[in-house]
Amino acid sequence: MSLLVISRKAGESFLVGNEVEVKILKIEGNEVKIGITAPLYVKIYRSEIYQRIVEENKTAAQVDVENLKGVIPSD
Amino acid sequence: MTYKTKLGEVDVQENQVLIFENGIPGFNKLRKFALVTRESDDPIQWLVSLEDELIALPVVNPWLVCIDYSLNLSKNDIEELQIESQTDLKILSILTIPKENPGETTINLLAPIVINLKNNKAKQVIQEESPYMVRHLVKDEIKRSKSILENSKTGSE
Repeated sequence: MSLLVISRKAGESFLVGNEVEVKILKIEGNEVKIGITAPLYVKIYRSEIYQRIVEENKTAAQVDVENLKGVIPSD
Repeated sequence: MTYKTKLGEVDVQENQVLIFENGIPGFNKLRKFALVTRESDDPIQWLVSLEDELIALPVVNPWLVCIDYSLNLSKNDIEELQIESQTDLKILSILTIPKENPGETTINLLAPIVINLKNNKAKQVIQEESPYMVRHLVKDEIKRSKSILENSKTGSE
């Protein structure tokens, strides 16, 4: 892995590999609007959502498989 | 074929092996899973890894918990799983069961497991722009679902 830091202005873009283009659309205060052009098989997720699901899956997998009493309320 | 899983040894027919081509977030290297049903756990089923005997996820039909649940599959998801008909789909949500406190179990309504029963391709779909979260309290959702049901009954009389 490598870390590359580059500066871009609104309206400018850069390529990731041959197929993914990332364009800075708009900069407003501390928010940046980004447009990504990529093939369908390239998955794009907001990092914090993906990370949240990773953590939740790992927590869910620590379950005790012998005791599911009371998990789904029956009354 | 017999697999060693978190639920012990499980017999799985080859045509029941679910393929997660991109793994499951957190378990990116695991591709092969199976859905295992144990009568005593009904309505909860298990998504067990056939490659790592430490990994099994308790799953449930989300509509049993959240009666008005809705799910948006992107074009990307539909192409990836080669979905031709909605009737081929099985949708499951993962439960997070706290060790000492099963009454506080939560359900992941944001990122359900979607299985295409036609070809056994499966993935955990991460919904963008969804009203749902990773953790919804199961007991609250069931309470809410019951009140929706009751209101709809009185409404039709």
